[in-house]
Amino acid sequence: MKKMITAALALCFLCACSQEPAVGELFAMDTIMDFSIYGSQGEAALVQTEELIRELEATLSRTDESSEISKLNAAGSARVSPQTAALLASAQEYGAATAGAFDVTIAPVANAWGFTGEKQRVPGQEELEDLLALVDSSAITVEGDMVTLSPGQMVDLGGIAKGYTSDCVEAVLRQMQVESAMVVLGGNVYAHGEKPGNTPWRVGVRDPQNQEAYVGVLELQDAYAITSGGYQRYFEQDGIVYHHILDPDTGCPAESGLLSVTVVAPANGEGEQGAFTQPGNGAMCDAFSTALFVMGEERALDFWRESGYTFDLVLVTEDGRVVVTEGLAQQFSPEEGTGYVYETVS
Amino acid sequence: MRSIRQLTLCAVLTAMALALSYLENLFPLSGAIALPGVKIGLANIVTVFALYVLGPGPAALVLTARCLLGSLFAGNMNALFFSLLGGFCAMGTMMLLRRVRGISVYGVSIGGAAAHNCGQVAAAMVTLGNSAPLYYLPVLLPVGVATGAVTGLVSACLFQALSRTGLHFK
Amino acid sequence: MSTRPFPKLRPTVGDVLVGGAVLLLAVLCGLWLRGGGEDGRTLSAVVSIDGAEADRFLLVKEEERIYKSRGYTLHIRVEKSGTGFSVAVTDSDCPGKDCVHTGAISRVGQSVVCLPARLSIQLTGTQDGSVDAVIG
Repeated sequence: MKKMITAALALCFLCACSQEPAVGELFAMDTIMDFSIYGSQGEAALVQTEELIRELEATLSRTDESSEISKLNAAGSARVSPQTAALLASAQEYGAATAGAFDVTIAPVANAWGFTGEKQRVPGQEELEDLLALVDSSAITVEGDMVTLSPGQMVDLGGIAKGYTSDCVEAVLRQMQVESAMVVLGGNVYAHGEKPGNTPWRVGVRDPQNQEAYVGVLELQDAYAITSGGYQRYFEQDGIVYHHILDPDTGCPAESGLLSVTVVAPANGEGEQGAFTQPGNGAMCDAFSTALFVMGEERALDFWRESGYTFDLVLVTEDGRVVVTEGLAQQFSPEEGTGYVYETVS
Repeated sequence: MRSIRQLTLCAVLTAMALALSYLENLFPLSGAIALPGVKIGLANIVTVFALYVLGPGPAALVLTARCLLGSLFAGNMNALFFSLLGGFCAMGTMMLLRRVRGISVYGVSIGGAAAHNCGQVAAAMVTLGNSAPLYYLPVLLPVGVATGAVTGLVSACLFQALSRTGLHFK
Repeated sequence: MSTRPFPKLRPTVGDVLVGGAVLLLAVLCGLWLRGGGEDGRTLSAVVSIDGAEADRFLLVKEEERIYKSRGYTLHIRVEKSGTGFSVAVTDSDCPGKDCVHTGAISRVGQSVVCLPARLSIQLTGTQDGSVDAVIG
């Protein structure tokens, strides 16, 4: 951080065109969020961004009993804001696209494992089978602002909310004509513009097996990068490690041979901004990082080739490989001495 | 006859060192400075004495016997590694410092105490398998200077008192 | 038999130099441990048991955690201190309780050690200089 500020300062003297960034940090959505926003609008954009995030958290949280999602889960049907309705519709779309590998109605199963609360446990097979019957996001109906769940269903937007939040942050930054910013939402990154000095942002992709190191560095500008990995949240019982990414088919932690999936996609760009921000590539990256972790390497790469969505991948596999899709080949530089074998696929 | 006298002296010194360690446990410094391994190091006086009067060989013998018996009495064989590593680091450093002109028994004691702390931190690092105990060193070393000065003072008084007995130094 | 002269018994300049050297070493060691450590940023606590990393968490909220190792149970508390957070072992059933006596730590490079339980807690920074951000 110090180096970054020093470098930024040095550049200011060189080109006299930028300033020190406005730097903010807040804890929301169960994670730490960091912002560095450059330019004269920095402080103002920071204030707006923080307000926006508090608002979104209050709307989408599952732990806050007064949130729209909590009310929907409690009542089974509810009128929600257009924003929430649109996000649920996107969640359904991504669920269908990934053949159910991403599913926001996994909530009852996640509850049984205790991943949302303090105490974790391993649920029994019968219990899981009963709960799995409730998992099907296509059974949700969204008509206008009226959302109805099928009986017993619950939704958890945890797998998409942070991505959507970064979509909204992008909209704020564009609206305020900020040219350069780095937004880190608990390890999910949105790189806005270029770094002052016209170089891309350097983003390390964490090594799942040594969390102080990276497997490599991505050079990004105007892009989202979101990682899902079993190492991010897990518990251990009787010597077995259970991580938090549940396979909607089995109801158990996905065992797909992957340690982490990083999805990279371009920023949404200048779009027509209506009353609220539509879910965009941020939400997509978030949903796909979870889905592709569940799918495993082979299915994930097939999906990358055939789905029709625009994104790229960095996969870290259990057998010690880092697989990068060709769109990132120029932007990804492997870290030396990690012991991984690096592959580029097309 | 010489060797029997020496053996007896070694045994007495070992017993004294053990008694001093025990005495020290009755007045723990952890109330004032709450770090593991902080103590006055009274037993080091015996090592100083043994080193000066008997030489390195017998001093090492006394030290080993003290560590072994101390751990045995405490019923804690994990402590053996700590006391041996600390003890021998201290003795080695004191042997070297003693040869340097212009350093009195005070400097020797201070160096020994600091080396003792380093040895114990090293033992803790080996036991824990990471570098966390290193953080204690910046605190333990100044403490070592203070406790080393105290044991140096006691040793100086001891040698002063024995100055008229015609003691030979090695 | 070779006999050495009677040892010097009065403190000398050399003694002061020895003491000074030790203190200098302590200061250097302290600086080195703090090297690159920035205060005010979010810290991570790394909990190691038997030399292997057992847990890692960010100091972002007040909380209590419990770790068991070698038959001992350690209670750890994260508390607000100044602008940041501190970590302390508040209770332990290990002999000596050195880990409890060590008190709270709140800066990069500091650690609490419990030797009987073979457990250590170290504070590290969360930012790295060579990249602008880390994902994952």
